[in-house]
Amino acid sequence: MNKIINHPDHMISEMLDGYLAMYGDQFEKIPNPNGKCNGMIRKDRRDKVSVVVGGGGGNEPWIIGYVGKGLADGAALGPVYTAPPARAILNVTKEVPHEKGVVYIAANHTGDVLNFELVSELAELEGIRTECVFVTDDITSAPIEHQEERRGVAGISMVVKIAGAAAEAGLELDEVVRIARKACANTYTFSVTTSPGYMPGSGKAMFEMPEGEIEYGMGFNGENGVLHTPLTSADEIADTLMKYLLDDIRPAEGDELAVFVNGFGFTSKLELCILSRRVHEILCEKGAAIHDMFTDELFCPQGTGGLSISIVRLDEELKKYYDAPAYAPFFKKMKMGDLRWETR
Amino acid sequence: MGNQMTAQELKEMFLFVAGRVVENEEHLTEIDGKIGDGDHGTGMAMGFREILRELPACEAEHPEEIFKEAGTILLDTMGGASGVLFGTMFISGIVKRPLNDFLEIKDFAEIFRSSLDALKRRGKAKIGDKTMVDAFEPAVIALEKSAADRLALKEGLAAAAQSARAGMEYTKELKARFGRAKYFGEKAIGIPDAGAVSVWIIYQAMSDWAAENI
Repeated sequence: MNKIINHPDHMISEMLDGYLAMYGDQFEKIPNPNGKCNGMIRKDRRDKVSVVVGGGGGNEPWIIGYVGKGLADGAALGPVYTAPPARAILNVTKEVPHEKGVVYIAANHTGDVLNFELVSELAELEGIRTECVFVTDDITSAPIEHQEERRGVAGISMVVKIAGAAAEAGLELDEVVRIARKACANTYTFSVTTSPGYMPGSGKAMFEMPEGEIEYGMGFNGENGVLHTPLTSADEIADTLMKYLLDDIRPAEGDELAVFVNGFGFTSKLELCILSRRVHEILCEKGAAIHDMFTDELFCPQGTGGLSISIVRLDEELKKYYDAPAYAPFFKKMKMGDLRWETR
Repeated sequence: MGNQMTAQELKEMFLFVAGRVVENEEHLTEIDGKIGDGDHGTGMAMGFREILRELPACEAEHPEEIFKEAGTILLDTMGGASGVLFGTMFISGIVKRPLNDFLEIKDFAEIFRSSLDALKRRGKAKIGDKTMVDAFEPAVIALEKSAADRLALKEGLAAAAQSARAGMEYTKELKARFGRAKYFGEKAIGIPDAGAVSVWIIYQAMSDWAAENI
């Protein structure tokens, strides 16, 4: 696949440079002394608990695009699909406001967990209080009884959004962490993959997916999914996705749900809307209370075909922070109710 | 002589090791590409290339400082799980040790035993999980046995390299419990763990260097 880069070694730093060239009024770069990995922070340092995210590049806008108002305060970027070194995260931690503590939010992947656990210890040596929240929304990577072992995927956007709003509201560290963990425990994601993404450095396919076949619950690097089928209609795909999700969530009467349909990059808005149509229909048939439903591209593995559906079960507290406005150039959620048709 | 290694010698040995790891970048990437995300070779080469660049300037009287410097470089540059785990392999063994003027085989056994313990704590892996522990633990046991048998340094390192290799071969028979390889289930059988291969490469390079220079 043709990829537009200069050199594989410089992809992440040049991406960040470009982003900051465009949005430098809002963000600044935190270089790592060895120059290999980078961080960024919000320029409007506010006196509050900070949220810092981190992980490997390659799923943009995840990480770089999650720093913003009502979102994260800083980010540490690792190489493509590789967790950032603890030192890079520590450098970001020192630059964001940290007097009131720092909440780290990362996906539950071995490399991210090891580096964030390590940096948590290093930050403590520097006198900075930190807590780690590892997001575990991928319902197929472990059964619900072992929810803490699940991988983190697109649902991390909702956890960062809710935690960011809680921090923005001026809550204390322990409260922000409690709310972030509650959001994490109530976020569920399931996906279908229709075609492979391509490594940005080499342009090589990340895995093989024959024409006319699709796989549910597949990892971004081709990790086995739970169901491999011939390509079916959008409605049938929506039915399968929602069956797995609802079996896992088992929403109770009156549970309010936020539904986020995340395109992986290759699948068009045309397709995403067709699929969302059926998802909405299913939820209505089940009598679920849809608090909010939207489609966006917030977690996109390099032009992969397919999508994921993330559902967040909201209680009154989570709803309050879910509804708060969030703004970053690639991640915009208006305050619920604003700019909506009055008939809604 | 022949049974002790100074800081200068240890530095030369680690530079030799680093060169060997960098040479194996493609080989490691290929193995990892089958059941991981294919970045193990790139990450290892990035870290050890940095050792080749920075370690020569490290002026140390005590071998422990060389361990610390090498581990810090890996930890700060590699990222991923490998950065923490291979950083731990070099750093954690010397954290609570007094500084010495030279290392003997028993020191290597003690240092790598402590770092193995730290690694297992951090990574939560044990023998049979298809990780670097499968190569590292047998190597440490071989070092301990060599120390008990009062073998010469190069003989002890040769025994460790041999055991690391056997451990690496053993990972081919296993399904993975950690990392991305976990999701490949039965497909992982027949392919060694890339981390275990790296551990063997490191021990083999230490042994090869000692055979020529100690």
